[in-house]
Amino acid sequence: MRIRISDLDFQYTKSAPLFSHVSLEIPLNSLVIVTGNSGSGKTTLLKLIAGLLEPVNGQISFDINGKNSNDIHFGYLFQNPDDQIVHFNIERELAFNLENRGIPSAEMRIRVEDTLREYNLTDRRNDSPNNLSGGEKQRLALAGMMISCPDILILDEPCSFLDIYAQIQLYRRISELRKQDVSVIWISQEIHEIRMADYVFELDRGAVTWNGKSGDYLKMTEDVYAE
Amino acid sequence: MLNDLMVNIRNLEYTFNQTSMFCLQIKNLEYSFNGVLGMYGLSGSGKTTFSKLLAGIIKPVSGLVSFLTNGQPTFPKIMYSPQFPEKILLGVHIGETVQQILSHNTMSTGVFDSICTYLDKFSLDFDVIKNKSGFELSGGELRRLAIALCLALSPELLILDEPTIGLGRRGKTQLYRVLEEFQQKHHIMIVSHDFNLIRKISGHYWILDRGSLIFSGDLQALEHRQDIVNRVGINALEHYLAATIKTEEQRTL
Repeated sequence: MRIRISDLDFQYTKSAPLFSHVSLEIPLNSLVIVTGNSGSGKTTLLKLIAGLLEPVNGQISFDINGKNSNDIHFGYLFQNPDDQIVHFNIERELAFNLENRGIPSAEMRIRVEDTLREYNLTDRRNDSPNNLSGGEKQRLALAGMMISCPDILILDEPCSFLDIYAQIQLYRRISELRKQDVSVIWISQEIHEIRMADYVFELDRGAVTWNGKSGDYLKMTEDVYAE
Repeated sequence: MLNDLMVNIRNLEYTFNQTSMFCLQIKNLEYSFNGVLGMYGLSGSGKTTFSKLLAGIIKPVSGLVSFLTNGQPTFPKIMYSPQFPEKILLGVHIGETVQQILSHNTMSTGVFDSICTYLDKFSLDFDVIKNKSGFELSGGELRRLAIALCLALSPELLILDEPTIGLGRRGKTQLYRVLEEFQQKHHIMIVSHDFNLIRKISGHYWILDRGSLIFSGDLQALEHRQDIVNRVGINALEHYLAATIKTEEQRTL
């Protein structure tokens, strides 16, 4: 159960190459944190994995219980929630994710109700996402991703706009999903989140500068965090 | 020398539209800016709305925001660095945007040099990014660019809405250093849902809850208001993490 990235090249048009000849294996069925300074390529790497960007060269393949890579269902939470909210109604926004997956309407109703309740959006079901604050929008985007039960969750700094209670709720949810062997790949620079992870990948200007268990990473960076 | 600046708020009210459930109401508030002001609240408490009203970006449904310097009415130069800089900078050509900003600010001198200096302090090189479009910059790079542009225009009051999102450890340290220097000559207000950030750089806090201002004071005063600390979850993360570590330890035993 792993993602194999071999000899990956990537660059945005006209820019200097971001990734050149990058090879790595990301273990699945675990919580993986991708960390590194701003501009190091974290978001780009995750978009390549999810198939939102095409590599210039190289291959990304998935070894998931013999599943074809086209059958893998990704849940992707963008840095900016506005990038993934498409409906003008909160309830419709949640249902849209299930409609796309051909979920029968009876089941859809139940799952939408449960999700509205879990993410504290029941009172606002008929409201427009445009009336939500930044943090509330991120909560809606997260709910929209979780409702379709993805095989691999990809979270790009999911807590950046979440307030303290929504953050704690996400940590609880992630810890439940880990017990169910759901794979989570998560961009974070927060020490307490790195502590929750199994593995850490650190990027610096398109190169992988650390790859290993989170406990070892924390030991290695103790001095940095001690500052 | 820092100018005296006071904000005076009277019966301020704001709603998005008739269907929206959100309503911001600030009855009466007088505050003399002194050091960095921090505004904290949970999602949907009205932080961004209140700061946009202060900056004059949106107009209240009713009520008044006015500023005074030495007791006299004034219209201070206020810059607001948005929560989502992507919305403004994403599709634009960086060099052309900077040119436009310069052409609108012909009265101020040294703005261009100042932009380059601030970018440099944030480890960004204008010569490298000037030919890029906003799409080619990362979230953290866009935020640092937006903040550098605000700083360079030298406002009397700088409002930073969630300034640390996407910055990472190095970016945060750079920002703290820059603000430390900037606050000597300018007033600053930081808006964030992260109380640890606010505590780090602000001396006076405004706390919002569901559209109302429920606290205005310093850390000492806040310590006497455990009801507020609990209501807005100021120590909630520490409690949660301590509890999880305890469970982990018990499991290992």
